[in-house]
Amino acid sequence: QPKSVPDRLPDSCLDPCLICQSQQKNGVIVHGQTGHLMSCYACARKLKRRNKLCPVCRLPIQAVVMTYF
Amino acid sequence: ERQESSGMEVQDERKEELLEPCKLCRVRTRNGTIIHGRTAHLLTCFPCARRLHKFQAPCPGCGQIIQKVIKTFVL
Ligand SMILES: [Zn+2]
Ligand SMILES: [Zn+2]
Ligand SMILES: [Zn+2]
Ligand SMILES: [Zn+2]
Repeated sequence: QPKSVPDRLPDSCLDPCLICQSQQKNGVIVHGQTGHLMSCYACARKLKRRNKLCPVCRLPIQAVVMTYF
Repeated sequence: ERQESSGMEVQDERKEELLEPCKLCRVRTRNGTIIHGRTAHLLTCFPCARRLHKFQAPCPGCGQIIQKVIKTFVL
């Protein structure tokens, strides 16, 4: 492809939350200077409350933020 | 520069926005989450987000003070 084509996130980013499979992915899991977005805010909060690790990279969850696009 | 600055609306209608490139450079992927309190905006790439934070610019999505910027990977 030509280089001028902008980068894109994978189409899967529009799929629903990987945990509840219903809500939009909008709960960014924060660990240090990086984050993972794979679930909705409610599911991500639940993980944090139960002291779970980030399901993607196994780092401790420092914070969960409700994310708008 | 910004044509559609309608603020936060129903999220479903703006879902596909995530696939649009960075609102600032319009080239790189949106992977710079701008954090303010318990909420965040994912509108720009990480380098653009970091530049905004460095120059103490407000969040381009809502005007709040930027507390932190993180590089975000979306699954
Ligand atoms: Zn969920
Ligand atoms: Zn992670
Ligand atoms: Zn950018
Ligand atoms: Zn904002």
